[in-house]
Amino acid sequence: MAEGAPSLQVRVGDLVLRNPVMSASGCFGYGTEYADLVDLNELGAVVVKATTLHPREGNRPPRIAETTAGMLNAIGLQNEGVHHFIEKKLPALGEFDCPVIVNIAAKDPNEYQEIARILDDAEGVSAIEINVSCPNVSGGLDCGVDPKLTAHVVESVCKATRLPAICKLTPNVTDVRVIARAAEEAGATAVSLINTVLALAIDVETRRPKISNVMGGLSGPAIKPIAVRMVYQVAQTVKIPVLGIGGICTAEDAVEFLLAGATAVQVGTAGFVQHTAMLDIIDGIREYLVRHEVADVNELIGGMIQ
Amino acid sequence: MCDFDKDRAQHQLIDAAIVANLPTARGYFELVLEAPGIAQGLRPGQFVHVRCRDSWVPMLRRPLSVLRADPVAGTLSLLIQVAGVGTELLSHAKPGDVLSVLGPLGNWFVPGHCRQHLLVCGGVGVVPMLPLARELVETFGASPQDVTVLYGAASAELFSCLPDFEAAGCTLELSTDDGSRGHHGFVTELLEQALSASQSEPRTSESGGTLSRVRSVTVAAWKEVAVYVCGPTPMMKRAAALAAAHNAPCQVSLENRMGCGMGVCLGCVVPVRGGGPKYLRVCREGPVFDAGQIAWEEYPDG
Repeated sequence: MAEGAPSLQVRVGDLVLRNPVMSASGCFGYGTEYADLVDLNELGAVVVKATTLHPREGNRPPRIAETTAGMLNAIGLQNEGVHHFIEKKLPALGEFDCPVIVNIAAKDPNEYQEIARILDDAEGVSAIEINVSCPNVSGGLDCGVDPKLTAHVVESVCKATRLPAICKLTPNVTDVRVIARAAEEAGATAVSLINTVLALAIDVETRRPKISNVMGGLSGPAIKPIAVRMVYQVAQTVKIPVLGIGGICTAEDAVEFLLAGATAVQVGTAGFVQHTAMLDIIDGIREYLVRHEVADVNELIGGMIQ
Repeated sequence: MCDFDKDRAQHQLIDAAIVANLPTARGYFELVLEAPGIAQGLRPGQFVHVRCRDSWVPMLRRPLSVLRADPVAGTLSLLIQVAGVGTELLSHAKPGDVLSVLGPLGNWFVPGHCRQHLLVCGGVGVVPMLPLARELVETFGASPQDVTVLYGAASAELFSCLPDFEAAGCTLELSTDDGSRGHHGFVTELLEQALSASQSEPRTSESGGTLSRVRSVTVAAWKEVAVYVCGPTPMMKRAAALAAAHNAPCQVSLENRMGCGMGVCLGCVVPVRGGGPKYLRVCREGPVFDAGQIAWEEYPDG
């Protein structure tokens, strides 16, 4: 193998990441909440909680339920809006040497565009992740299941900003490749997948759904093989980078996504349980590269042997 | 309750060795953990977030209220009711086993400026009441006979910590659903009696009061009774309504399924009144809330 430590650096468009591990939106707040447990300077990037144009109060509780190796949620995009984010949350993240990717959600292409324009003017935003896949709000999934609408949203965002635009895809479609291709053709810098899997859990004693929204999004290791499969399918289809998301808990999980074709990965639910998960995964990827005598993590991308 | 971030001790994430696992009542056990960093400065009502084992099944940590914290010995005790797969796993923990513990988390009960204190609890809701009773007597200077613990359980064999409350000198009134011990009925019926009795008692003057440490507070600002509640949702709703009807300040400690315990996932929210945010986080703005702040009519019965 090459001399010295293996290189973990990856690129998503023009965005250079020191390693391929970042937080998943909604699972890491605005980063700073975890700053005393996780050194943000070590992360590939921080993807912050979804931001909408106006504040949203979110769904009625109960909002989460535990399932086998997973968690069902229907938070409903509770947040204080993009202006509050820029004024109150973004400056603190500027203290860290870590790219900030802002996840945005909206009800129509015009609103996506307006949020993107506002973020384009803000200091300290490295990229935008376009959330066309939230299963827990009215209209949230409408865009992400329709290739034309997805393309329209991506185009609208790209017109409003020079920032890299990552389109976050839903698994709740018949063929994710169709949506991924539409996002690519509309100008997306990258696609990230998967968002949560639409799911339902029922309390059999009360016969009521475990969350008030009835259905919610399933996350955690329970969905990982589905996510690996979809990342593989999309990576075979598009030329832009693919960011892998879905139940990643360990370095082995992350490497699995890279081998399936992901350029980088996002860690979500695992971080609630094991706060140092992202740091452990970065260390574990490095150890894997050493053990397999691979000099550069990019050599793993799409490296599954058939 | 307290919601001042500046007062909040910094949380720590530690691997805590189990010192003891003691059965206390049917379906209840007390886990004693070596957690010197967390045991310092823990306040009544605060909780820790515990990983049940080094595995992704069960997925989530469990928020557990702290029963005792011993800063000298560097230990903390959790009284846990076996209620599902996570607490079942914890019930089999043995001395020497190690658990990942995050804490202290959340806010805490703040002693009311009152002569009499009514601590109302049901089932596992007893947990924060022991440290609260102790703080009222030992730190806040309340007379033990003015600290009354109203404690309800389904049956006599489900009570924990009774000797501890007796040792603290508190007045203890029990109720059971099946009548096997104490009042046959709901603990909120004991609360109703206590609140009615307190209103009929003559007011004590400032000089007759027992709260010497807060003498500077004017008598006019003092109320007769403060109510503190932790237990099942229907019981908390009823207790909150009774306290409101008697114009007594009331704090409730809420429990909810939590994702992160750090204020990030917004999974544990409760509906609140007023013109501010519609929902507040149990893990961050709570678990202790002013009972009047909660929009009980929208609160899930769960």
